[in-house]
Amino acid sequence: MKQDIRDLFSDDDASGKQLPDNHRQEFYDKLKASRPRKTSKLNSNYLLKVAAIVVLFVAFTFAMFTTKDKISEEVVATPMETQIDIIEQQYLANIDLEWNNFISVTNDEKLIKRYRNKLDDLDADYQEISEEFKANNNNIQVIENLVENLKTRLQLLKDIQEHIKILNQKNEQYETINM
Amino acid sequence: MKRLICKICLLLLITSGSIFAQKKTVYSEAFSADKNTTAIFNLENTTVAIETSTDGKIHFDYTLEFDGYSKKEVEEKLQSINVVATKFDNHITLISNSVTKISDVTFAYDAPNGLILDFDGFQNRNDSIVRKSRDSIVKEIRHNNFGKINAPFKYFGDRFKTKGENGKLKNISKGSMKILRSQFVIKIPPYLKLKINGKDAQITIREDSTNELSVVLKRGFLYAKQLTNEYNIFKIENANLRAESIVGGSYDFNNISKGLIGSLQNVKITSEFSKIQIGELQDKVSITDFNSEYFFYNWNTDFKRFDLFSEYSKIHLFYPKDHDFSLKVMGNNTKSMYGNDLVIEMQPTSKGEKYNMMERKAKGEGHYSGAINFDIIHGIIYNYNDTFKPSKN
Repeated sequence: MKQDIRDLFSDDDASGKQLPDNHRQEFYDKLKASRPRKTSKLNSNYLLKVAAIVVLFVAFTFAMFTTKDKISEEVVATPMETQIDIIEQQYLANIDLEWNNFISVTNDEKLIKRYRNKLDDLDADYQEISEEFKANNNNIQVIENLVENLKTRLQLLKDIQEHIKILNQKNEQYETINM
Repeated sequence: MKRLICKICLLLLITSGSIFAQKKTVYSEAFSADKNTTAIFNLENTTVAIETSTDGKIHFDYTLEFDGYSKKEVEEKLQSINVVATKFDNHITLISNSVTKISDVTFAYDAPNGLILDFDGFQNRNDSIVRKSRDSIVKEIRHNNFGKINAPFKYFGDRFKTKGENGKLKNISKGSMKILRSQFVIKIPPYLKLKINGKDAQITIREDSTNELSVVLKRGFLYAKQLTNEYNIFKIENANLRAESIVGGSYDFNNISKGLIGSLQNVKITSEFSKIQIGELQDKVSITDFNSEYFFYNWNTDFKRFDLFSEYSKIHLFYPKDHDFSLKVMGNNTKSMYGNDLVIEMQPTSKGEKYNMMERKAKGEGHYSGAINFDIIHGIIYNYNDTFKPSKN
């Protein structure tokens, strides 16, 4: 049974075949295809997280810059008394203006009298709070009370004028409305 | 191990505020009381919380907690507060006042670079008007734990800024603030007849009260749960009011800017220049008003009768939803608004006569809940109802 192994391939069909020109490329392609597929680290969840971080970062940066812009105006530190004085002057000028507007749109003496009394009453209150403010000018509640008092006076005058304006509008008239 | 150290550091950081705060008892006293005991509390620049005592005694417990204050400043503050209670002939008198206003939490700030008022923080919001349920009003009342500011530092920060080293407006850091926390708890037995005179006082009645109360309050606020007593007399001026429920008594409101009442029953109100929202109108309520704004959101199944006498008032009327009712509007020179478009002018007159201006008769179907009666001159009624439309007489 002994034989020369060189004779085994002497009449083999394959021995005469030529390898195709792109056999190397084919080999690499097959090798690549046979490798287990690696799951990409850049999956959708990961991308979503990255996108969220980027969006947050951009938003945060934007907020930082816009906030900074908002509060980065040059300010002049003045005593709280001066600041309140300025606010007071502005409000009192407006209150005066609105008072004149108010008495020009109504001829109801009773209404004017009640408003005058109420505004006097609020002014007396303001004087009391001002005394307290002099004693403690950094107390937020006292400052709020001062501003609130001025705001109330102005708002009352604006509201009553709006009320009178609505009452004076000419609309369809009804003797009695039955529903 | 590192995580443990981190946790300990964090805990220390959080609790360091309380560790360094100094707690001082301003006043602590208890008095016996019986059913004939009466009391008067005179409060100025003081914040108190009233609770029900369970041992039949009246307790006064006033403590202050100082954060960031020097020993000298603490002494000065304590010196500026005067609290004394006495009992004579079964009558207890409490006097409590302070040179400066003391709230639940009071901030002080020694501004090396000036304290600057950020005026935008004081601006009001304009809410749209929709029907609110009684429960949502109660929820609104309970929000902030009866008026306590939930985030006082933010509240302060929204209103005040300082000047930074670069000359720009800068937020104030919490570390540079001095904080004073006040807790004045007064416990009273439910049968005590009590009179309170408050000026710049912040009064919170934390539990339902059946005490006979006579309260005069000028500036500050009154927050309460249910107030039940037909002899109650309240006079509140230039202040805020929040009450979950009021049963019985007479109430005088003058410039109540943020009035919130969950429900009203058997109450007589006289008011002017106020803005009051009412969650539910129950039986026997009458209001006499001048130039206020009222919101009547809901009506009890058996409100029986409601009377409003008003002049220059603005009424937001939400009609009863589920039951039959009648409505009668007497008076003159009043506008009735239906949405934004339809405005009806009712009986303009220069002579002051009163007319029957608007009427809705009971339909006679289902349960009849009651009669709404308005006697109104120079008023505006905003109708919130899409179930029926007005028709010409």
